[in-house]
Amino acid sequence: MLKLRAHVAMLIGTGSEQVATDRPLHLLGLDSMGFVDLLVFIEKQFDLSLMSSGLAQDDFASLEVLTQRIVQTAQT
Amino acid sequence: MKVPSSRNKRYLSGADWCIAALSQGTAETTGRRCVFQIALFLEGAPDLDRLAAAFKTYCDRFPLLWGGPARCWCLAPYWKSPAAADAGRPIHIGRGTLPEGATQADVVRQIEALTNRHAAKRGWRTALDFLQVGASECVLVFSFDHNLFDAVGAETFINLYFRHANGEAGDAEFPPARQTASAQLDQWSQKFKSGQKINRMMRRLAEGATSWLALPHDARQRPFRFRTVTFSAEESRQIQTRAFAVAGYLMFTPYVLATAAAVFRPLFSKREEPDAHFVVSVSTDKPKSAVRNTHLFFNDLSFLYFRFPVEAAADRNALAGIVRDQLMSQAKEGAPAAIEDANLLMRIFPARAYWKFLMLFYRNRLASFGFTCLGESAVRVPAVLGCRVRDQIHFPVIPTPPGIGLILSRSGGVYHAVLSYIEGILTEEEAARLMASFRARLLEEPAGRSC
Repeated sequence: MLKLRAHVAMLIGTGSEQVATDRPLHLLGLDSMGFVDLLVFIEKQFDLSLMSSGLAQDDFASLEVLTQRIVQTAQT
Repeated sequence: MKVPSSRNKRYLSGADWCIAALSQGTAETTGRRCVFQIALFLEGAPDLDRLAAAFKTYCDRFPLLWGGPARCWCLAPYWKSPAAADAGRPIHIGRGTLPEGATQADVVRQIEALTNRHAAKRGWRTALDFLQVGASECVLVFSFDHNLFDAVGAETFINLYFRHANGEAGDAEFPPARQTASAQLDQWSQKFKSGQKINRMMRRLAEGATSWLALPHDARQRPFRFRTVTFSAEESRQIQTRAFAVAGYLMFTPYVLATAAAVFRPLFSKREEPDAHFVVSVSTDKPKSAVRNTHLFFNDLSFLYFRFPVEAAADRNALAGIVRDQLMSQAKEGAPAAIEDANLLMRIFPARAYWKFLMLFYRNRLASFGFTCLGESAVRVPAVLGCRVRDQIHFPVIPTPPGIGLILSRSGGVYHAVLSYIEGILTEEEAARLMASFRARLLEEPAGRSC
C-alpha cells in the first residue's frame, strides 16, 4: 500500500500523505496515462500479470480496494 | 563518466529535438513553424495597458525567451540564452477588436489569422494578442513557439503571468532565470538498443499502406484552419460517464481516440486506398511530478502510436479495445522511454536531416492524423485584474504531414475539441461535418463495453 500510494503521489504531483486511500483513483487526478503507468508499475514491482487477470473498473474504487486485488492475484 | 553540463546553456532533450525536427519539416512544407495558441476568455474589459506592461516585466525575467538553438562541441544541441532580456527585440503584444455580440466562430477566425501570421515569423518565442469583444468579453491569445514550450508548460507560464499581473506572485515562485540540463551523453549502448526497439516498433506500425489525406500542392500558400466544438459542463460529465462505460478504468483517452478514429475513417476511405490502415500519432504529457509545478519551458512529452486495421474501422468499441491493448503493450515495452532515448541519439543530426530521415522512413506518411488529449488546465487563477477567466482553448499548428489533427483540452471540467488542419486537405463542409459527427458520437449512449 505504501509503495502504491507513493507512486500515485508521484504521478499526480503531490505528497504521499495527501493521497487518500479510500477515494476512487480518477478523483485523485489520475488520467488514462497515469492508470497505465500505475499498472505497469504494479506488474513490475510485484511480478504480477495484473492486466490479463480480468481487471474491472470496481478494482480501482480506491487504493485500498486495488491493494486487496493485488494480494488476491498474488495468491492465485 | 562525466556528463557535460553547463549553467550557461540548457541542453535539449530528445523530445525537444523531435519537436525541432517536426517544426523544421512543417516550415519546409508550409512556410510556417509548429506554434500553438492558448486563448483565454475573460469576462468584461480588463485594463489592457496594465496587462501589457505586466507581460513585458514578466517576460523580462526570462532571458531564454530571446535565445535559440545552438550546437555544442560535444554535438549535443542546446538552448543558447542571452544574459538578459533583449530590449531591442520587444515581445510582440498586439490588440484587436470585435463588435459586441461576435460569436465564437468570429473569434476563431481572428485566432486563425494570428496563428498564420505568427507561425510564418521567425525568432520569437511567445507573443500576446488582446481581442476585445465589445465591452463584455476580452480574449487573451497567447502564442508559443513549440521549440520552447509544451502545452502544460505554456499553461503554467500563463498561470504565473496572471499571478504576476495580479501582484500575487512572490519571487520564490519564479523558476531560475537560467535553465540547466545534462547533455545526456552517457549510456550509449542503452540508447542504441532503444533505437533498435523503436525501429522495430515503427516498422510494424508502418507495414502496408498508411491512410492519409494528400497535402495540397500549394501548401505554402494555404492557411492553417481551426474548427472548434465545445461541450457544456453537463455534456462534459456525460462524456466522462460514457468513457467509463466504454473504456472502463482506462477512461478518457482510449474513448476519445476510438471515437475520433471511427469518425475520421469514412473521410479517409473516400479519398485514399480503402484498405489502408490508420496510424495515429499521439503526444501525451508525461506523468506529472512535483517538479512539474515549476516546469514552464521546453518539452516534457511522450509519443505513442496506434494502428487501426481497416476491418475495425467503424466499430468504436472494437477501436477502444485496440487502443487499450496497444496502450498497454507500448507502456509495458517501455516505448515512451525508448522513444526519448532514441531521440537523444538523433540529436547528432541537424533538425533538417532528422526530418528527412523520418520522411524517408515513413515514405512521407508519418501518420494519418495527430491526436492530443490534455488534462485539466494548469491555469488556476480565477480572475485577472478583476475579470473572471471564463474559458480556455488550445489551437495548435499540426506538423505537416499529416497536417491534420485533433486536440482535446479541459478547463474547469469543461471539454473543448479543436480540429486543426491545413486548408485544402479538407473542405470547410467536411471539417464541419467531421466535428459535428465527433461531437454526436462522443455524447452518444454507448452500445456496450470493450475494456
